[in-house]
Amino acid sequence: MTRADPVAEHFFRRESGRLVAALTRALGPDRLDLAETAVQEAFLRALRVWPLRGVPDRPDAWLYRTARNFALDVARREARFRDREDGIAAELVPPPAGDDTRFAGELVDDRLRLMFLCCHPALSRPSRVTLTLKVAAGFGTAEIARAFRTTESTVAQRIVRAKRTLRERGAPFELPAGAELAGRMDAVLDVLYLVFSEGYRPGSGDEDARRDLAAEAVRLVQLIRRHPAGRLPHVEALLALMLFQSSRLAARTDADGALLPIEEQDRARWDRRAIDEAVRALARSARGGRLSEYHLLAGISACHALAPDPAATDWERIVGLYDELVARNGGDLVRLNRAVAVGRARGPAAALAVLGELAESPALQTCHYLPAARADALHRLGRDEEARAEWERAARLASNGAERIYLERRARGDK
Amino acid sequence: MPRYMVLMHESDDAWAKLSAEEKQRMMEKYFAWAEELRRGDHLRGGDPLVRGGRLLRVAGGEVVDGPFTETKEVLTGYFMLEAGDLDEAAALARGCPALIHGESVVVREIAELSEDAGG
Repeated sequence: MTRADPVAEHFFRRESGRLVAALTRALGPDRLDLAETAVQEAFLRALRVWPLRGVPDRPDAWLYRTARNFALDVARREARFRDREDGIAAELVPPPAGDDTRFAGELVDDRLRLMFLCCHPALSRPSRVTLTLKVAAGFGTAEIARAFRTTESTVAQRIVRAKRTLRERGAPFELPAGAELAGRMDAVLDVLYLVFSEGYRPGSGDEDARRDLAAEAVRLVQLIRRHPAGRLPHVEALLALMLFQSSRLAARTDADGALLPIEEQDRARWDRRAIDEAVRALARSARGGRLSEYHLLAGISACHALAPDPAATDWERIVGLYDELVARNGGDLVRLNRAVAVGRARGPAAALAVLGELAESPALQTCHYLPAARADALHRLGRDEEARAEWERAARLASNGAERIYLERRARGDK
Repeated sequence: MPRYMVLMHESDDAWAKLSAEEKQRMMEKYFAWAEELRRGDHLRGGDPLVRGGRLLRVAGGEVVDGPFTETKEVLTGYFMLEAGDLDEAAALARGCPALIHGESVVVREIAELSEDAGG
């Protein structure tokens, strides 16, 4: 009990998921609420004790002991009330001897089980996302509400309902076995990619909350790939994709807050360490027969990240990867992105032709991507008046400020 | 110098609603507050209280045990301060971060028995 300095950045968030996971293993998944309450309580006591007596040498072990003892007390008290003294208290698996040192190691297994529980197939996608953020990643209801532009009470209700569903289904705290594992793993990755994308999405809402979402999603994927069940090519591909995209976070807006397209970004501001880590993950992702959509998206991201300047970008390769994506997931947004790549690879006239095929797309009518892409191609053809009109249309449709600032600038004819 | 108890009460689940990140920021505030009290040589101790407990009372002429039910206002912990008077103690307690995370704070002077006894 000697360290006087406050704890490391994000310490509570990191510990929150680990503690809830370890306690849920001990208490059983139907006591998820008790596990969470015990962790809240341990944090509250840390707040009151550490500033007076110093931070313990092993703050993680201190928190675990405190939370575990609290949960044991509650369980015993409940057992007494129900007149079955030996009930829950006896069922509550005591922590293994020397658990403090054990806890020092990464309880990756428990954390993975917790993620699988939160992404249970009985839950809707929004419920999985919400529960994962709250229970496995230590986010608060207000933070989740801010990040997803909804109300705190909606988030709270969703959590209550999701937990009830898990109890009713008797959802176990374990890794699915055999053939079920693959499908369940995909559901977990889907949630983490959704969390990342929401965090990475620029412009609207609370920037800090979003950045935290993206960072936490990366961390959880990194955690998964440390587990034997998670050493899968498409896990590596998802990690690579997230890291490539993260590497551009600092460079994608300029001093005016305008969201810059990749070709206008200052590549010196790209995070080289993230890119290097992404490249290693992408190399690992190649071991295995399955080519997932994450592989294709990571491949596209890599083409940008590894080009020393925009002119060196391998656009034909990007078009090829988009061809494959379109074949699997023929969504209009994917086809639009492909059209932009076609324009870079084969010239703006080719882009306009492909964009023409998307003109009636219902999915693209209400967003700015289509007019922005048309504007870009027209501008490159020297048809500046038409380009400006398209940029104006795009600016009106842009739903977030950072994109609007950029589009309005182009509509004015500024570079 | 008189001593004062700063008693912290929680009345809803405000604490549970905070994210782990916000809780950690709250702890930084507790560190800063404790440091400030130490600098002024006001801090004399403190502890969090474990939830639950026993209620002992007399019923039918006998002491009975419980049941203990948590009241709406739960005492979660205390700090002990030394200050010149109640106003100063209350001013110091104003900085208590428990107030920020939704708890109420009661400041009470500890009766010094030796003085009462004229000693």
